[in-house]
Parts: sequence; structure tokens; C-alpha cells
Amino acid sequence: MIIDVRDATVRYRSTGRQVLHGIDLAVDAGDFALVSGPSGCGKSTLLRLLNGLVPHAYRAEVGGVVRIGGLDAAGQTIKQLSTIVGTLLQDPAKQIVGTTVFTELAFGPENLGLPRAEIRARIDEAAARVGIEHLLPRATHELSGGELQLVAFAGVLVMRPRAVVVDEPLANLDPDAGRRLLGELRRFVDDGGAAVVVEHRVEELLEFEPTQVLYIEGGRTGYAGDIPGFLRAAPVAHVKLPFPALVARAGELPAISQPPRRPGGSSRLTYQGVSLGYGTRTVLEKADLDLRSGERVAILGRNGAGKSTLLRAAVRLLEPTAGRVLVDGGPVTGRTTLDLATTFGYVFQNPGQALFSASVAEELAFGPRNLGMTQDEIDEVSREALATMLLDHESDIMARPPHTLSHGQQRRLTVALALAMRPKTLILDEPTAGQDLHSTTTFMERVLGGMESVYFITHDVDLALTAADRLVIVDGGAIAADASPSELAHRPALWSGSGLRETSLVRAVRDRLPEKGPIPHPFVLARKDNPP
Amino acid sequence: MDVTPRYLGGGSFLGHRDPRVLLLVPVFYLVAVARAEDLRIMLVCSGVALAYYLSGGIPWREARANWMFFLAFAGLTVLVNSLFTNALQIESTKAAEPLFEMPLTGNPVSVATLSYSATLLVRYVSLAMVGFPIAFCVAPGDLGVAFARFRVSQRLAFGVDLTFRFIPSTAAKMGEIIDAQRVRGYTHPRTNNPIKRLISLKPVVIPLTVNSLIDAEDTSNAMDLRGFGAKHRTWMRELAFDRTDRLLLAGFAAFAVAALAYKLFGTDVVWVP
Amino acid sequence: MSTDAVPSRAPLWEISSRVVVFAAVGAALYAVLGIISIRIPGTQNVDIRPAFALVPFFGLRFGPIAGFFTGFVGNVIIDQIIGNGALTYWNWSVANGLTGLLAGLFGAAVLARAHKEAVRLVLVAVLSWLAMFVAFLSTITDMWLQGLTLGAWATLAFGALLLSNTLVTLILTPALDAIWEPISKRMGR
Ligand SMILES: Nc1ncnc2c1ncn2[C@@H]1O[C@H](COP(=O)(O)OP(=O)(O)OP(=O)(O)O)[C@@H](O)[C@H]1O
Ligand SMILES: Nc1ncnc2c1ncn2[C@@H]1O[C@H](COP(=O)(O)OP(=O)(O)OP(=O)(O)O)[C@@H](O)[C@H]1O
Ligand SMILES: [Mg+2]
Ligand SMILES: [Mg+2]
Repeated sequence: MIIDVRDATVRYRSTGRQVLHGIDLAVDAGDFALVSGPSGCGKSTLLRLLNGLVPHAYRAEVGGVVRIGGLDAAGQTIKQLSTIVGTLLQDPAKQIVGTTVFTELAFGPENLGLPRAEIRARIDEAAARVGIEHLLPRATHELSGGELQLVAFAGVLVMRPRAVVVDEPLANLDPDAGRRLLGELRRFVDDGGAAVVVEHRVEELLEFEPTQVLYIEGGRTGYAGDIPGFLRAAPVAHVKLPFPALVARAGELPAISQPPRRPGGSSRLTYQGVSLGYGTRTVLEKADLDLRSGERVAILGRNGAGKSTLLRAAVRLLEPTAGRVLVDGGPVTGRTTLDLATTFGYVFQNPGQALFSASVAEELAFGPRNLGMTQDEIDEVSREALATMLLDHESDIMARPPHTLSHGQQRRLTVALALAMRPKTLILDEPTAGQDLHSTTTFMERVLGGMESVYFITHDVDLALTAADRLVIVDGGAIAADASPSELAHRPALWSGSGLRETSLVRAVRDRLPEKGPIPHPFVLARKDNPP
Repeated sequence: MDVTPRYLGGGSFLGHRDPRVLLLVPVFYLVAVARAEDLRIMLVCSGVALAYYLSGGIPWREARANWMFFLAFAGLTVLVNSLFTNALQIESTKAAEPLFEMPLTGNPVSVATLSYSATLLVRYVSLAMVGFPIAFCVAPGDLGVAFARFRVSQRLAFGVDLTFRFIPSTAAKMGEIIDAQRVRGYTHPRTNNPIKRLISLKPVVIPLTVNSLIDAEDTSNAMDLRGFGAKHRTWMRELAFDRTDRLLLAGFAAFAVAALAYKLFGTDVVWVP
Repeated sequence: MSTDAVPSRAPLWEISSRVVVFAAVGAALYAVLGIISIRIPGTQNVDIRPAFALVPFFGLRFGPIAGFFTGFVGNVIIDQIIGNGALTYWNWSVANGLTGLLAGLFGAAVLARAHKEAVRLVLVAVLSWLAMFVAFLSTITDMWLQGLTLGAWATLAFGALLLSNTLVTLILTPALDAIWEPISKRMGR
């Protein structure tokens, strides 16, 4: 056994809370274990247990048996463990320590004090294996999200670990890049390695044939066993199951009622032959697009396609190099960013990025104050915004330091910050990345319920399909596709080559629904053809 | 302002030197010209500095901005310190016959004052000349190993490399934060009131720092997980002085000694024509 | 001086990977933010530099080594980028480093004993100011390196700097620490 965890318990000293209660996990060469579970259930903590960060770097009490490479983990240093268990953190940008890809790959072996020839050999091998030889001389800060992820993975492989543990690799990757990484991971396992992957997006992993699944709930084992069993046992509200599995379990699916929508309205955001870029580099060329005031628009595309860039132009964070942008029929050039903020509530990619106040109340007041609202108005909009995002239940939320909120709460708060400025339309940049199905659905419910129109960027095809009236695909410096979800589902040609992947839901929509008309909730769709 | 380190003098003579040379030469030069008072000697020294700088092959185009800023700054300092006020008191400048009085401060200016001011300016400029190659002619990633070879703690030496890894990403992060705040109505203040300015920077400085620190926790974990922290670590970059390096160092060492000797035994006083 | 008093609970002088990373992050932050600084024309190499708040902060929070590295390396880079040249005022870079170092030592000695929030913040302000004051006294070396008169150093160089950095250490450093305290608790290392 490379990894042998029996009845493990973890209690963080800083909070005194016990996080893991009797977890078992056995992984050997050739095993590909999938670990899943709601946010905060202890997945990352389990990984820290495997790579030694707990208890060596984090103050925590560990119980039970944790044997890595046949030896007791507590008796080994992180350095010793690092040669057995390689770790790929969720955000590769934080894992990169080299200024160039080559120095980055060299870092680990250098620390092991290996001779230079050996190091060079290892680097060449790992780079070839992951297919990034062409990147070796590049500066790391110029790489795209997908490339970074692969480089970080290669940086783990050069340590020649026997097992690799990966924390939510798909969170910030477009489907294509995600598949490339998982493919490499699978190869590593096939070549006699072992892998433990933490991931919410179960469906994406299935095609790489995990050999076992561990589902954690509140720090306890919810399910442990093989894939088919998991698909039968997994809680439908918390795990995004592939559509066939939903059909098979149609009987137990809860009833969902969606109010009918009538998208449309006047032009809210119009691009006329707009070109956008940074410095000399053009990202988008002559884009034409017209988003309406009553629409829910999902914007998809691979990493670096220009999705964020496109929407930044709407609030003049970026000026077009050609063409013009109109808001409510008038050119944006006539308006300031602040003034535009009352039309578009803009929520950036990573939550907590712009939080700076000592309390949530001050944080909420910042925008409205800049708009010149009175204290009473500010109090009112703040209360409203918090209520809309379901944050008002938190005890004395107003006094809490924003950064001490949980990740999910911070996301909701950043939306509340935008809502506090009373915008007509919400713009969200990857609002649900790295969240479990339940928080994703509740989050989107709140957002969509609160606004007449929402434009959001996402890598989650199914979310786009179910939550939006209209999908816009950005690719190759242009708008590659712009259609309703059902239309798009019926045109596979539009998907291929845009970094997107057909999910089982897309296929289901194509098979079961006409090309026109709205797409019902997957549960409804699954129940339709075999009523309970 | 662009903060990412620029490697301009790669192919040049200095670009081929061992980075330790580029770090040591300025130190020798600093010793040599410390408190030089005689303009003629200073000019000789600056000749050496100029030759050294030119061998760095730094394109003027690229470094122009830095030079302009530096000259403006150095000029200002000299004006203030030695012309407007008599901050740099040198006996001979007081002894000499005043030519005229500066406006505003009414500080008497003699030929000696002018001569000494010139000396200062030349010294500043020549110091910059030997200093710039460190910034422009050392390959990124070579600094760390250079310090490591100077017997600085291996880990701190790597910290230098890490700093240059973090600078561009920090700058990028700052750009994003400023954008995020602009959407909430943040604007750079027009005021000159320092306190107002400090407060107004909070929305940028605080999130940037906090986020960098939070990320740093992960980075240090990642480094632990890749075995960082051993007493001995390999550095892929091999450093070795070649003959040219040794000659260059020896040359500047001798130059420093000579200059020192002259200061001690010679007559290094402000030159008055 | 109790060695386990540093927030990072590591021995004061240990150079763990944590210290290295925070040192590097500190230097990078100081460099990047230091460049948006408001120069007071006509003084010695002095400017109002809000980012200076970081130097004592990193010292207090992450120990003397991280503090020194932040101040020294950070200032060298700033000087280089904004064009003073790293060499011209090397003694001022040292003073920056010393600020972080002293803050680290003071923090280890005193701060760990402060349990009430308000008390801690006041201490942070006082200690950072003290560290800054003592450290920058070392720039009196200007009298020899730049040939300044005592009066010129005290007014144009040290005096002007005291003016701006007093503001910074008394306002920004505590503000930073007040924000960071709850977060560091939550991160629980
Ligand atoms: N360093 C720490 N100190 C104290 N508590 C912690 C620490 N890290 C995590 N926790 C707590 O332990 C619990 C599990 O955290 P963990 O990060 O393992 O969850 P997770 O399953 O990875 O969540 P997510 O899917 O959001 O990443 C959470 O309640 C979290 O607040
Ligand atoms: N501030 C910037 N300066 C220079 N180039 C940038 C900047 N921001 C983005 N880019 C580049 O512009 C291109 C598009 O970036 P953008 O963030 O719009 O992509 P994206 O579609 O949002 O990608 P992701 O899905 O990873 O967020 C990328 O190649 C990126 O490297
Ligand atoms: Mg996690
Ligand atoms: Mg984006």
C-alpha cells in the first residue's frame, strides 16, 4: 500500500474543531481514487494528511493510522513524504516558484540535492511526458491558466513520486485543458503510479475511470466503493450526476418548479465592431454583440479566449482599439466607470480580491458612498443586498471582518457589494468556480432571482445550459457562436474546437427536446420520459 | 510604471560575466569614489565607469526613462544640497571668494562651490553607471545563485529569486485590484494632503497585501511539499570565474586601493581653477 | 527574549520556507507599492512612501529576518527602478532593513504579551515608529558617505523622512495589522 489511512481523525488546534471523523482510504499502484463532498467537508484536510502538511505544517491533532509508503506518516518529514506523495494544489499560480518553466521544474530536484545531469534528465523526461517541452524557456508569469496547471503537474512529476494527490484541478480550467490534465494523470496511474483526486465535477472524471470513490460528508465517510455504486448512492442534490444516472434514479428526484421566462427587452450592452487588446496584443477582433436588458447570457470559451476582456470593456476598464461600445443605446465613452457601475454590477473572477474594510458594513458602504448616497440610504441598500444574497442570517454579519467569512460567503458578499450600488444588470466572472453543486444552485437561484438580467462567464457547460437564455461562445479572437441553449445543443459543430465539451446533459437535450424552446431543469427532464 | 525586471544586456561583454562580478565591481567603485572632492579625479573615475557601463551594451532606448529620472533627481539633490543650501560643507567652498548669491536662500556660491557641485553630480552619475548593469545585465534567476555562492544562507539566496518571481504577479494583481475598486467608484485623489492620500490608498494597499499573504501560505506549503529547506541544495546554474572575470575584479580592486591611497596620502581637495 | 513569541511560532532566527516566502512576498510588495510614492521635491533621497508601512508590519508579523529582507531587498529594487540607482544610497536600504529587523525583535519581545486588541494596535504603532526611528538614525552615515553636515542630515534627510514615515507607521501599519489579525487567526498555522 502506498497510501493507507485507517479511521483517521483530524482536529485543527487553531479552532479546536474536529474536521475528520474516522476516514478510511487505501490507495496502491494503479489505483485512481476520486474524493468528493460538499464544501468544507474536509477534502483538502484529507490531502494535507496524505502529504504531511497535517500535522507537520498545520497545528492539528491526528488520530488513527496514516501510513505513507509503508511507514507511519507522523514519523516522516514533509521532505521525505514529498518523494512518495506529490501534491498539486488547486491554484497552480500559487504553486509556481520559478521565474521560468525550466527553473520551476528544477526546483524540486534541486532541493533534493541531486546532481545536475540527473536533474536535467528528469526535467526532459517530465516535460516530454506532459508535452510542455516547448514551454521550457518561457517565463512562468506569461503562461495561461491551462499551461500553468500542466507546468505545476510536471513540477510534481520530476520528484518521481509514487502517488500524486490533486486538489480540485478543474476549478479554473476550461473543459479541454481539464481533460488534458486528467489524461496525463491517468497515464501516470497506468504507468504504475497512484492518484487521489479531489473534485466536485464527478462527470468529467468518469471517462478517466476512477477505480474507487470516497464521498465525505461533514468529515465522515458518506460512501466508499466503486463508481456504479456511487452513481446509485450519491445524493442527487449535492453531486452532479451524469444524465443517464439521473434517469435511472428519476423516481427519487425532487420536484422542481421553474417560473416561465420571457427573455427580451431593449438593448442593454451593444458591441459594434469592437476590437480589444493589451498593449500591442489584440485579444478580440471586430466583435459584434447585442445583449438585452431582459436576458440571462452565459459566456463560454477556453482559458485566455477573452471572455473577461470582453466584459471589462462594458465598464470602461478597457478602451476598444476599434469600434464602439453602447450601453442603453448611448456610447460608453460619455460615461465614467463609476457611473456605469450603477448600470452593471460587476463581480470579478476571484472573491475577496477587493475586500479591504475592517467590517462587512464598511465594505458595503464603500461603493454607495462613492455614489454620494446618504447614510440612511446606505444602510437600506446594504440590508437589501445582504438579504438578497442570504447573508443576513449570519449572526452580527455587519461587524464581521469580510475575510473571515467562508469562501462561499465571500462570493455571495462580493455580489452583495455590487448589488448595493443598485445596478440594472449583473455581470459575473466565473461565479461558481470550485463550488459544489448545492452551493452552485442556491447561489445562482439567489442571483438570477434578484436581477432582471444577468450576464455571466462560466466554464460549466451544464450551468450555462440550465441557467441562461442565451449562450455566447468566445473563441479565436471573435464571437464563435451566439444562440439559445437548445439551438446550441443541436449544433455539435459549434462546440467542437471552442474548448468546450459535450456533457451528457447536452446530449440528452439534443435527444429529447426540440431545437426551439427553454430547457427544463435536468431533474424535470430526467423524469419526463419515465414518470414515477 | 513597468516593474518586471528587464534583461537588456544579455549578449554583451558584461552579460557574459559571472553575475558575482557585476555585484562586486560596484562595491569596489563605491569605495574608490567615496567622498572624492577633486573634480579632475572624479572625471577620471567616471571615465572608468563609463567604459564599464558601455561594455554592458544596454540599449539607450530602453534605459532612457531610467536615466532621465535619475538625472533629474541627482541634479535636484545637488542643487539643493550644495547650491541653494550649504548642506555639504567643504572648508574650501567657504574660504573661496563668492561669485554670486543663490536666489531664495541667498546662499553664497563660489567657483569652489560650483566645482564641488559638479564633482557630486559626476559621482552620482558614475555610480549609477556601474549600478545599472546589475539590473539589466544579470540574467533573471542568476542573482539567487550568485548570493548563494557569496555564502549567504542558501534559503535567503533563493528568496532573492523568489522575489523576482513575485514582482510581476504582484504588479498584475495590483492592476486587477485597482480595476475591481474602480468599478466601486475608487479614483486616485487629486489632493496633496498627505494624510488624505494615505487613507485613499487603503482600498488598494490592503487587499493587495492581504491577498498576497493568503497566497503566500499556499506557496510556502507548495515549497515544503517539494522538499525545500535542506542545508544543501543543487543550483542548476553553474557559476565559475573565468580569466576575464578575475582580471576585471583585480583591476577594479587595484583601482579602489589606488583611489583610497590617493585620498589618504594625496591632496584630494576641491579643485579651484 | 522568548523565542516562541513570534506569531509564526517558529524560532526567531530560523529561516523556514515560510519565512523565505513571506520575506520574498514582502520585498515584492514593498517594491511594487513603493513605486507609487509621492516624492517631496528637493529633499535628500526622501519621499512619502505609503508602502513603507509594510516593512515594520512584516517584521512584527513574520520575524526579524523576513522584516529585514522586506526592507532591504525591497528598497534596493525601488531605488533601482525609480532610478536613484541601488548604490547611491545603499545605507538607506540598510536602514530600511534594520526597521524590519528591529520591529521583528520588538514584536517578539513585547507584542506576544498584548492580548487586548486595542492595546495591540497601539503597541504596533509605537513599536513600528520606534523601530523606524532607531533604524534610520543609522543614516547619519550620510555625513561621511555623502559629506552632509549634521544639520543638513538632520533636516533634509532624517527630518524629512521622519515626517513622512511617522505618518505611515502610525496610521497605515496598525490599519494593516488590524485587518490581518482576524485573518491570520482563521488561517490557523
Ligand atoms: N488551517 C485551518 N485551521 C482551522 N480550520 C480549518 C483549516 N483549514 C480548514 N479548516 C476547516 O476545516 C473544514 C474542512 O476544510 P477543508 O478545506 O478540508 O474543506 P474542503 O472539503 O476542502 O472544502 P472546499 O471544497 O471548499 O475546498 C472547514 O470547516 C474549514 O473551515
Ligand atoms: N492585464 C492584462 N495585460 C496583458 N494581457 C492580459 C491582461 N489580462 C488578460 N490578458 C491576456 O488577454 C487574453 C485574454 O484574457 P482574459 O482574461 O479575457 O481571458 P479569459 O477568457 O477570461 O480566460 P479565463 O477563462 O482563464 O479567465 C489572455 O491571453 C491574457 O493573457
Ligand atoms: Mg479544499
Ligand atoms: Mg477571465
